[in-house]
Amino acid sequence: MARMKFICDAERCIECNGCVTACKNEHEVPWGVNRRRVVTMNDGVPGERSISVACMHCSDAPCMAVCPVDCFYKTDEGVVLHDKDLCIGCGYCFYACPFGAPQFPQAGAFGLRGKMDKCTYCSGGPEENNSAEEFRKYGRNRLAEGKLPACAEMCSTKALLAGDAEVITKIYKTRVVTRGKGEEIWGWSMAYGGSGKLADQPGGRA
Amino acid sequence: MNARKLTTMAAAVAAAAALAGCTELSQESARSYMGKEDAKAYAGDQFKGDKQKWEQSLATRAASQNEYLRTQAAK
Amino acid sequence: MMLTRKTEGRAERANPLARAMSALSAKTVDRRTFLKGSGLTAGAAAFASQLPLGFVGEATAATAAGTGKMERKRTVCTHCSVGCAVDAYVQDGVWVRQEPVFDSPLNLGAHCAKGASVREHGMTEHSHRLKTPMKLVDGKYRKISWEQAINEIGDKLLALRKESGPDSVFWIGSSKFSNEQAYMYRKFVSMFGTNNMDHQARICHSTTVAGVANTWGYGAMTNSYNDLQNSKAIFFIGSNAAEAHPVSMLHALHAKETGAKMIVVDPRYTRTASKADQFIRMRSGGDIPMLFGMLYHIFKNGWEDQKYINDRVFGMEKVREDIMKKWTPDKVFEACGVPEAEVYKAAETMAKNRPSTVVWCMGQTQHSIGNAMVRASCILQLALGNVGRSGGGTNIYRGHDNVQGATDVGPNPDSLPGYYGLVAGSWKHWCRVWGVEYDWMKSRFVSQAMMEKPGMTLSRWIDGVTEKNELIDQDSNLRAIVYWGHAPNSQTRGLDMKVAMEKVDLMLIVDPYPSASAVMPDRKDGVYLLPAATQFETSGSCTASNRSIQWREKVVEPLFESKPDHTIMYAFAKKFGFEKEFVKNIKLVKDKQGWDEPVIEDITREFNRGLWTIGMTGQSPERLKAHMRNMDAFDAKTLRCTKSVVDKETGYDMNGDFFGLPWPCYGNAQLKHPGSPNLYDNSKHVMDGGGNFRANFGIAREGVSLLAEDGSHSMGADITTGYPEFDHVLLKKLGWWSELTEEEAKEAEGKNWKTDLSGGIQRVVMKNHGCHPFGNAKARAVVWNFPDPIPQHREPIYSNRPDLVAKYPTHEDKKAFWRLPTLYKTAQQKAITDKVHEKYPIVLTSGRLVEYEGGGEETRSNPWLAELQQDNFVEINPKDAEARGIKYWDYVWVSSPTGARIKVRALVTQRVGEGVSWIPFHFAGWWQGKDLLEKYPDGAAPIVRGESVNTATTYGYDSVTMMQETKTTLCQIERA
Repeated sequence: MARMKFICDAERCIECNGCVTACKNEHEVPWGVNRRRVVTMNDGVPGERSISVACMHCSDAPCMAVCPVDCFYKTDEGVVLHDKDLCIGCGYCFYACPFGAPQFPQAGAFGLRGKMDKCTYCSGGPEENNSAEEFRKYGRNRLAEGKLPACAEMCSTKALLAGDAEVITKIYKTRVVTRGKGEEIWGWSMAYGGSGKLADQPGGRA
Repeated sequence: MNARKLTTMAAAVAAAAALAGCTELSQESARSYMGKEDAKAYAGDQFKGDKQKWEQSLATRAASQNEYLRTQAAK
Repeated sequence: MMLTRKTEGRAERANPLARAMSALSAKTVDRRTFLKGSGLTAGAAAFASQLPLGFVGEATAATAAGTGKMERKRTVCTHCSVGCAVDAYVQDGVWVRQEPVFDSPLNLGAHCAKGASVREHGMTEHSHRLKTPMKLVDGKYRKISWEQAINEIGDKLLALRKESGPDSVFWIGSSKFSNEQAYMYRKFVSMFGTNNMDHQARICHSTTVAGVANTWGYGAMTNSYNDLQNSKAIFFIGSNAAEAHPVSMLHALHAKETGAKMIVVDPRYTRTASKADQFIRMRSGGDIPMLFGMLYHIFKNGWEDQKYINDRVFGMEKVREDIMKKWTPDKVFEACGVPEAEVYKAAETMAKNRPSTVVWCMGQTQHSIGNAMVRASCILQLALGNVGRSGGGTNIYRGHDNVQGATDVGPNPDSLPGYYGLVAGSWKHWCRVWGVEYDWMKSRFVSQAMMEKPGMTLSRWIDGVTEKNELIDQDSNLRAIVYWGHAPNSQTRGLDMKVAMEKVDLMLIVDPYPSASAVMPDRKDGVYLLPAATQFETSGSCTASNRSIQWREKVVEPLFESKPDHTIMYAFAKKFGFEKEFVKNIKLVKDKQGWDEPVIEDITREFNRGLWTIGMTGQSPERLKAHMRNMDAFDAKTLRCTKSVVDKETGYDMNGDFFGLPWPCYGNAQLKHPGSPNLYDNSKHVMDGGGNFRANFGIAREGVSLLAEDGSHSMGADITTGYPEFDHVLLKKLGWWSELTEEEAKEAEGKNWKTDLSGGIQRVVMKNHGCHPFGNAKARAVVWNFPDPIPQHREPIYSNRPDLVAKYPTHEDKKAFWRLPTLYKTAQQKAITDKVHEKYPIVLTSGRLVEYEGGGEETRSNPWLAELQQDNFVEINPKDAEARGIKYWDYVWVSSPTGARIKVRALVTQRVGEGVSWIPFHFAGWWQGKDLLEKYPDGAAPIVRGESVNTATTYGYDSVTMMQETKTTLCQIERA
């Protein structure tokens, strides 16, 4: 079974924001709501590195753990999704999330929080696949079309990788081995924990 | 971001992952989901439930993220 | 870690996301809906307006389950010269999805922020497009009909033509045109009767084109982005590719991964620098000291390629003497601020990791000595024997998506299409191709002299308006200005430009957006805005930086009342009365509103018949379209198709072709030349895309042969030494004349390889004898027809170092240079006398952001991009900021020696060194602190407006091409 993951190769990310607009393009999320962002460390000085971050679709997701109405679920592929019909917009998940992934569109004149919105790994939500209703609430469902998230597919330098952990680990590993470094910056273990050795990661032995 | 924050964050994630020693983690949530049932990704018109065909499609797309495959040396 | 940038204790780039994030909620602006423009039902519209809160995707929900058939259209991103392919999915005439084209060998599906957002195309009534023709009436833009617009504007231009001559109008064209439109625009303005035309290349790579062409033959990038994968060292100087050409970094970083060393030389620590093995912070404008400093070490250590220099380079010995005398390490340090160890290291890296390549962009071109700086780069590569080698070359990244193409075939004031120049023979050649009489053509101009005199340049049109009449080299001053697909805020001297805009009788702006031209002048009338379609609303070819030509399919019909540029040109040609001559060989079709539209493919075929010089003769529409349909056939490293791949639609076999048939693709399409991936590469046969340096400068100079030495020739050539270019005489002397067919011989009689319309000369020379039609010569390290034959460092007009101005002063003033008097020494000396460097002590330089492009009107109107950069800013070093009491993101006034003051945010960062500041140039819509929102036509103002850096920039022009000096000037910064 596929386990869907993102990994951003910091040796390649050039902070071009292609992933950000690819996401806007595919899901037409409103101004001010950003499912994906690029974060830069040591901006403007040697050691500058950028990574693209969105919902990491955690194995043990803190958002799921704290949600008072239990609107989160996880698909067979390990994608963390939620039901907007159930969401009450309380913002608990935002405080729980280590990555700041949950977003809250402004609702009404008093700046009340709307229902939570976040990266769906381009796989929609609990509505009929590729239906108008699904798009309206969650955006496109590329996974159901046999495609991967738009952000990674369009990444300018192929820094942001998406897909089955086994497949993308192999791609990432090839690069790390070829250049002889890079893992320590924002490698698999930084993203998902566990052993720091690529060989210990899914697909890493192959 | 300073180094300490990175470490803290990494530790938090690592702690979560450390619950299982092997790479295949249980994907079952401890909490129960109260929302609507979601169809499988391969359930729609395009794949009509053919999971293998769907996985093949995803694998092809994933491989297109590897530019090493696009040169003669790779062919 | 939140998905925001941290601000505490470190510099960061302006990012409004952090603020939006911290408030947890942000104002939701008007979302795009396709509904009004797309003919979707009223029911769907009502549904969209009642969307529950917190949902995404609003209106296109209707299209997700739409009824119409989904069609795929393949196009190319219009935002830079990398040439990223885009698959557009269209339903019911609406562009509803965008998918990556993994098959493209150029971008492999990859996009930057701009490319990933090209679908946002202003399709709705609420978009920021210019939707109808507009006329300025009593200070307010009013909607008018196309008919009224063409008639009124046409009458005024005809009256000006009669009263003050055709040279009284200046026609700015566009690098956003397709090749076909750019070519037609050159023809159109010629038929109006003037050479007063120009386009973005003037202020982009004009110095490169002139410098490089005069060094070895063609003014273009020698290799390709893909070929970087073959480089062992990559040297960026004045290029921030990570922001200006992001997808090129896919190839650069791949190369780095496989072992290439990367060096970045720049006054700023750019995002490109952050990926480099060695970053060298250089004083702005110090390119020649830096490059010659490297050559000093190369010569001193004997790292130069002596055989290559002997065989293929003219004048290197003289250059060497000059360098060893003038550019010792102490002098280098003094003039460009780089210590010897760093210069040595860079030289060693380049010398010991061959093939090594040099990349440059605006950082090198936009100087008053840009022509000399680019030649210094060429000389470095010639000394190392890197030119004409895969992995080497000078990889000159062009800016706009078709700026290479528009330079090759478009509105250049000094040349007809294909760099033929303006002499009588050139006019006769093109008249033959166009099917018009030379005498008729001549009658359109004031005189033969004016017909052969280069026009004014884009960078100087303002002086053509305001300069004293007796000092300009044409009868009348300029009285009308046409901005056809060009932003004004990319040109320097904003204050002077405003005056010129207010002085002309007529301003005509043809553009998909109103552009800053619509709002800069304080005028009551005399301004017209005409809505042009974008390149996604028409079809045609465009030339990427690597000379590969790609074909765009039309994605959607022109939106609102917009028309494609060539259709508008034809309408004006009709009004001016030369429509028959304009489209002699070109069919017309009626568009949906009954307008006559020249058939694009016919235009391609017409220029295929005439562009022999640069080999744009073999790229028939059929071949180009076959390539676009079968992109996966081409290798991403070599760009070549190495097996039989047959296009289903045409039956054309692409075996052996290089992707996009990068020019030169000599001969006619039947010759099946594969295109040339790397110029001057003599390790290949000419019919395999190989070549050598061009014989374009005579055969000897001061008794020294200019032709290549014995044994130096393209692979398999019958002539194994240097030889001149081919004409009918040489062909006969060699006994090859009889190999022409009867028909070819008839046409080729009295002609040369450039003017023989049969292509016979090229065919016989290349196919039968493996020789190069343009001859086989040496590259010139000494360009004797330039002001500084050996590149010399000269301080900018506005220098912060009077001591260096004394040592390295600028040129003498020029009279009648591109029809205008041009100041060098007078301007530089005045700045010294006035102690400008004391009042304005900070060096001001400018550049690009990844989110925006060019003048920025289109991209700042795209909400997905606009959201990412909401304010213009100046990068200032923490020490300079502290000394001025400036804190992060404060508003500041940046003032310049012109007296201009612009209000921008302060981005306090170590990206720039002490005493240096940097401002992106994409902003407009503010004028010295004031938002001009109310001056835009209703609803057509871009989402993000800001102060244009060029409101503040100063005088200074290249001594060959009139390139403006934007990269080195002076300013002062204070808290607002």
